[in-house]
Amino acid sequence: MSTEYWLADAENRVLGPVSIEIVRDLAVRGKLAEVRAVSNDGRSFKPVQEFPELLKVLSPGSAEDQSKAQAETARQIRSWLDAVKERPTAEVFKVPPGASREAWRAAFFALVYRYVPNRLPPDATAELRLACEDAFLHLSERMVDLERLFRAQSQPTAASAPQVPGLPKKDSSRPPEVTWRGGMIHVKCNLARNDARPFVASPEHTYKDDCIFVPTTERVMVGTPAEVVMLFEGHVTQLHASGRVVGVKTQPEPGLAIKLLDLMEVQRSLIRTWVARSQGV
Amino acid sequence: MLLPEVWIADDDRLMRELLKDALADVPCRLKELKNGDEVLAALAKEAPSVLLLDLMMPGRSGLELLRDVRSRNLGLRVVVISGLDSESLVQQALKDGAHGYLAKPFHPLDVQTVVRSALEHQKGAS
Repeated sequence: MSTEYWLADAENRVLGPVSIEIVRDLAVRGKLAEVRAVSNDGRSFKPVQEFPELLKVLSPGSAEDQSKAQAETARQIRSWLDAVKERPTAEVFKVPPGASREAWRAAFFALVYRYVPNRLPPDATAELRLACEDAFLHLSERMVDLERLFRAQSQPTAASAPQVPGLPKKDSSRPPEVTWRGGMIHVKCNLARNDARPFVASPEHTYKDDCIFVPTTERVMVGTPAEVVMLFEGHVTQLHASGRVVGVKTQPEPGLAIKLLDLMEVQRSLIRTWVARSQGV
Repeated sequence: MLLPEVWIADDDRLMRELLKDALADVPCRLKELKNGDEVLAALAKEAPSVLLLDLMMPGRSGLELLRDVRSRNLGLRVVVISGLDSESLVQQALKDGAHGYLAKPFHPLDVQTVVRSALEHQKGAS
């Protein structure tokens, strides 16, 4: 049996028993900042310095080590996804058939938390980010199907039969809505899966500079303040940002370039992942 | 009819308050506990239907308590709460018998959903 550890922090809060693999996983994610004492039995604690194998794991690893650990996590997620892809949802969610909607939802939330991409550290590799996103989308699609079935069951008199589970396959992108609010424009973009056009359509104004391009014939001056809301198909997370118009184009496609201001790293990361996915990375 | 009991075991007072607020609409009786020893002492007298258990607490860890509760076959459902949402730790908690895992920060609706589900399962099992 592998060695188990109990870790105590500066406030004597204890985590354990956990294996060294879990300690490594938590350390890589930056979740174990203040381990002060360690025990092998949960009773007698010694300074962490007396556990060289743990010190090695807890000390900030090289970028290469972290990248290896993230690659391993991504591999585990991919293999889990492969394993569950063809299995019935009840088996994946570990919920007995016939359970209530709440039971399904609880099981879904318990599972999906682990894969929410914006819970990853900002320096997570694209590989890990995409693996998490794939798992997140896979589980979300199953939950969407379940919700549809529950809705259909709760409307027995509806004329139409319940939809066959599955997300719409057609391009559900809609043209951006650009409206005026006082002296400010409000832009709302509904992006279908694999549609990253606002982030890459204008080579001079791409996501790399925190810019988006919004096709519109609306007449707007450079410098106009903007409020931007972006919805990403299959994502719970929306992007809300303020910005300013930094360019107006009339050809080949008329539209506005907007610089998004004060973007947080987690928002940039969402955009990077979305673009990478659309490019089939 | 007596309402089912839900215990909240977390050393962080603010977290206990947030959980209590989140469960205000769930028909149950709530009890707060500040650490693992308090949980054990309370379990010696009675058992709740659901235990919301922080993984990191002073003295005795949540994982240890989880195993302890499981070995006693008390029939209660344990929902683990933690900011340490690593894949491997979640797997271990579920393997050790946790009904669910709530990652901090949590949405109040998620707390309600997971507790309702645990109550439903507990009711079905008893």
